[in-house]
Amino acid sequence: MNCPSGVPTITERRASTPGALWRRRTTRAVMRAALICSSALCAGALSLSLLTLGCGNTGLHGIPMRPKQQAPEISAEDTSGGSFNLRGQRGRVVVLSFGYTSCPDVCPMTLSRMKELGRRLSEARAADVSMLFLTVDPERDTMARLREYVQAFDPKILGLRLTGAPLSSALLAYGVTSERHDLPADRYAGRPLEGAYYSIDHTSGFYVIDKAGDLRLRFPADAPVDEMVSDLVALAAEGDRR
Amino acid sequence: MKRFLVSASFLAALLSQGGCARPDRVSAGELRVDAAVARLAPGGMGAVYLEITNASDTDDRLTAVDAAGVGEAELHEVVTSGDVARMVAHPEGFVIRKGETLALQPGGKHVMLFGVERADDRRTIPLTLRFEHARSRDVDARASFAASTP
Repeated sequence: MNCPSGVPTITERRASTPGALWRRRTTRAVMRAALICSSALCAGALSLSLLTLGCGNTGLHGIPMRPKQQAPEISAEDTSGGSFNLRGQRGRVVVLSFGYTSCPDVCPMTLSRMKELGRRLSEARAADVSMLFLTVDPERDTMARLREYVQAFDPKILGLRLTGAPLSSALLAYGVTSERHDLPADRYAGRPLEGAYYSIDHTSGFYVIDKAGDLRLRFPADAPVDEMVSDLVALAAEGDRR
Repeated sequence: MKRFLVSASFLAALLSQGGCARPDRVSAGELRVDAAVARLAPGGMGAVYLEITNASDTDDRLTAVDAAGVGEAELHEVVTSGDVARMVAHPEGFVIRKGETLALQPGGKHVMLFGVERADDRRTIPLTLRFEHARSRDVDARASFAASTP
């Protein structure tokens, strides 16, 4: 019965007036549209529930840290000019990453994603999330350089700087590896950057700490932003119903 | 009307190639370089991403990239095993087999830039790509800024 409009169908011919004919055709069109819409809604709802089912028994996308453990304390100078304590972040969800400013590829990508996270979380009104970047290269990353770097991405990202034994302890506590690779000595001999360049292999990705101060999730550096936002919104809502 | 539109768009396309500016898409010979972008980060660091298609009948190799006058450049590759991102230097360059495309992209192979002077003022980064067989190519990589890309 899918005749294109124009030639009236048998049933339509039964309608006695042009008004009635129009009403009948419109009704059919509206019903067809309603059917399509509700199918789409059903399909949408179904796939959404399937997606959530696929998230594992926690309903979260990130890699769960098991067993749940209190996030190791970090006390460091921060780029806001103050002293940072992880303990002071209770009541806020924390996203932490490690890297250095002389990193050409991974760290700009990580911070750019943190910036995107911050923006999306503000939109979702789940803005009580702290974003932290701890440098593994305090030798070149002076506080000034670190501040310039993180704030260029987003003034809400806090840079943290530790040196010596406190840095090693923090990295060890979080299972973060950090290994320096110098460029071949002869390559830059006599050039302006002689001796100043080396790269650092380091643990990438994001650590997520909940409002109670427990280390809950890990995300790889290239985890979909949607999934991170979803998990952070969920963690930010935890404890609100009590 | 249609003919006018076609010629107008052709003219617009021609004009948008930018007169005397070096193209960022170089095609002379059998190696084609596409989509060259230099993503600059604060502190004079950066990474160049691009694609090189080898339409010739011989394997070739990108042996070096020169950013003379702008900063230093090295060929590197990020290799992520488990959680750890390692940056592996490739002084030997990157092979581009005949008929294939070498893709330098975020999280993978890239040209590491450092010591880039006055990065904020730049719209393009002029680079010279050197190859084992093909003659070297000059390419202008479009500058993008990691910190301000939405």
